[in-house]
Amino acid sequence: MLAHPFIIALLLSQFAVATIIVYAAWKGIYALRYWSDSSFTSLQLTLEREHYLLGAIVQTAMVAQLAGLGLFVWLINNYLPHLVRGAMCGAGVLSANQYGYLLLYVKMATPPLYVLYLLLQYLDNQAPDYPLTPFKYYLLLPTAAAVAVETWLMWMYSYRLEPDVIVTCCSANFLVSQPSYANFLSVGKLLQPALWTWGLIGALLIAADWQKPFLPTWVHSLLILVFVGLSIYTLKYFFVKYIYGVPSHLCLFDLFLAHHHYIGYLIFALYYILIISTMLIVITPFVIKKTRLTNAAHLQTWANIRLVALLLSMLIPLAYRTTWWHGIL
Amino acid sequence: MLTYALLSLARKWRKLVSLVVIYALTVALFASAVFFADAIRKQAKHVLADLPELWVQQLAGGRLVPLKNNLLDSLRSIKGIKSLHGRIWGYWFDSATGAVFTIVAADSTLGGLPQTSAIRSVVLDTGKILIGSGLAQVRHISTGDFLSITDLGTGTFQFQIADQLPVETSLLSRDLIVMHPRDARQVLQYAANEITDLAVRVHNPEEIANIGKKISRLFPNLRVVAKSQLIATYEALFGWRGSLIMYGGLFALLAFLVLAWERASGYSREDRLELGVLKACGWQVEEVLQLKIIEGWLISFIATALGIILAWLHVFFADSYFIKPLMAGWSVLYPSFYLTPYVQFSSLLFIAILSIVPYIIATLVPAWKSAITDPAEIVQG
Repeated sequence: MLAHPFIIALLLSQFAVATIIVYAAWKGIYALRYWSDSSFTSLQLTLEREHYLLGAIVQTAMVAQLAGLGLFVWLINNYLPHLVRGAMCGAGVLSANQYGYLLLYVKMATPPLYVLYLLLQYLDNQAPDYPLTPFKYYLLLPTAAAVAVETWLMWMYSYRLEPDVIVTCCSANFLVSQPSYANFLSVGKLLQPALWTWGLIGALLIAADWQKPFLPTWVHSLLILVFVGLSIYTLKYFFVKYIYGVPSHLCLFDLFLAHHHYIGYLIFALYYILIISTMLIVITPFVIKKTRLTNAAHLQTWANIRLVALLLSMLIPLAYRTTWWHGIL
Repeated sequence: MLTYALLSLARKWRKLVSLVVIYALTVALFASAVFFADAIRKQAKHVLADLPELWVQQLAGGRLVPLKNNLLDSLRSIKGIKSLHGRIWGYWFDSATGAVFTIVAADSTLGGLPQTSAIRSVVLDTGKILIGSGLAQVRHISTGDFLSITDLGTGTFQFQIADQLPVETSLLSRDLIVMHPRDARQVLQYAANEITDLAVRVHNPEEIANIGKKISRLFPNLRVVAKSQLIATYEALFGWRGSLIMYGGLFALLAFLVLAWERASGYSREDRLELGVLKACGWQVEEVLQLKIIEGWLISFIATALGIILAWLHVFFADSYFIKPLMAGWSVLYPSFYLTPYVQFSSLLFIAILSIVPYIIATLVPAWKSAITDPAEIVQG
């Protein structure tokens, strides 16, 4: 399937991004090795100047990758199902070969890395002496590795995508062949506790952001991660039934289709905001120590954004459930 | 910053014209292929909408051979089948023009030619035919004229042209000769109990694949073709042809990126003075870099938008003059069709990502180099 205009466009963009990110990581390694705050050599001057270039590279890469992720999700849900036999949505298209799901997971993992780097870059530029340089360059290494793996997976997935091979799609979710563990999780004892825990943690996190934060940093960030995990779990095994109005169709990919108003894009964007804010909570003490920042206005802005994301990520699924008048699915 | 970037570009627009024009032409090449494929896919879906869900053909030695009529009775017992209809059609090579025409029995256009069957209510008698616009054109014949069909071993048949199929249907009907079923049997040498293939209509669309499988299992020597397969083949075919153009265009894109890099690296005296003044006014490296990147985005957006407009005009108003032979294939009887303007929003996004991302990346390093240049060095020239 390398012979398709949309796939060529995504691959070209992916290769271009991989090239500049690997270049940035290479420059980052160089800076990590030779950076010296007290030095006035031409090498140090060059490294300080390159710091702007690396920021611009990550910024450009992030825009391209976010657009690429959105288009990839659209491609697997709305376009490729017409070409791949048996596929009805992304679930079928991604299972067409062993690289599909891996590619999706890696693609989903890279945007928080870019955002974190850009946040560090922003904070770094607030101080005159670049206090976070070269430490922030450590972040370029996993980013470059992830982008390289993503590019390889993207190439392999596109190369091995055979339109003639019949795939099984979500039908597996409502046939008797459903895996036993999924049965257990969906109808078993875990769902009810998961829903309650999700609600309680959500309420606790909202309370923590509403007033002065009262949770220790590590508890706060851990709870957000648990909340995101439970949100995806309860969305898949409980709330999607009310979004689709079908009790047996437990597939998240349909959330990205037009007849469900593309609600999946909004819900997952909210989860992204929560994950990025968690990373921010983790790095804040380090950043404050390094940059000696006393004015934490931007951190407060992030807390406000996180609060809105928390509220919406709870209210949207609950709204679907409460406006469903036809009993429990 | 954005306003300044816009004003700065407006000041030096003369220098940017050639760059933007080449950029827009490169984008127009890709965009034309995408627009053409989008529009023809939609048109194909529209004209194929009324086709039967399945059709069954008899193979012998891997080739299509006539099917016996009694198969209809065997298939009727399969649950879920709404109707079965035997069709008669075949090809006729006209040595005078070198073209191949398709002969179809009047009762076999069933659904497959919705426009022709709906518009024309002419009752065809034996000895009368309806012809497509292609035949009328290459043979210079029209309604009322006579046409002789000669085929090896069957002799010569004389037909009077009852009417011409409408030009709007030429995507499907340009090479068509529609005749009375009895005439079609005679010309194509079919016995009374033989048909070319069998059109199967199904009650429940969800059951199409199952019914197709059931027929294949019961009659392994039959070939079962589904409408969805045909549509998927069209999708793949136009996707593949579009990508051929794109692969060719990648070299144009690379050449353009080299040009863009060169242009972004080589600063004129005015550019250097502008940078010097900005720095002397207190602009920091980051601000100059942002300005240059914004300028890059603006050039890229303008050229991409221009390229998309050019592609739109090329495909929908200039009959895809440059890419049609590549996209639509070649034949003696080339169907003259006009595409209805249709573009998907997602296609625009894909064109944008293909056009903007490489350009922005190619101009990053030159932008940074200009941003870090020492103001004193700039002003001194």
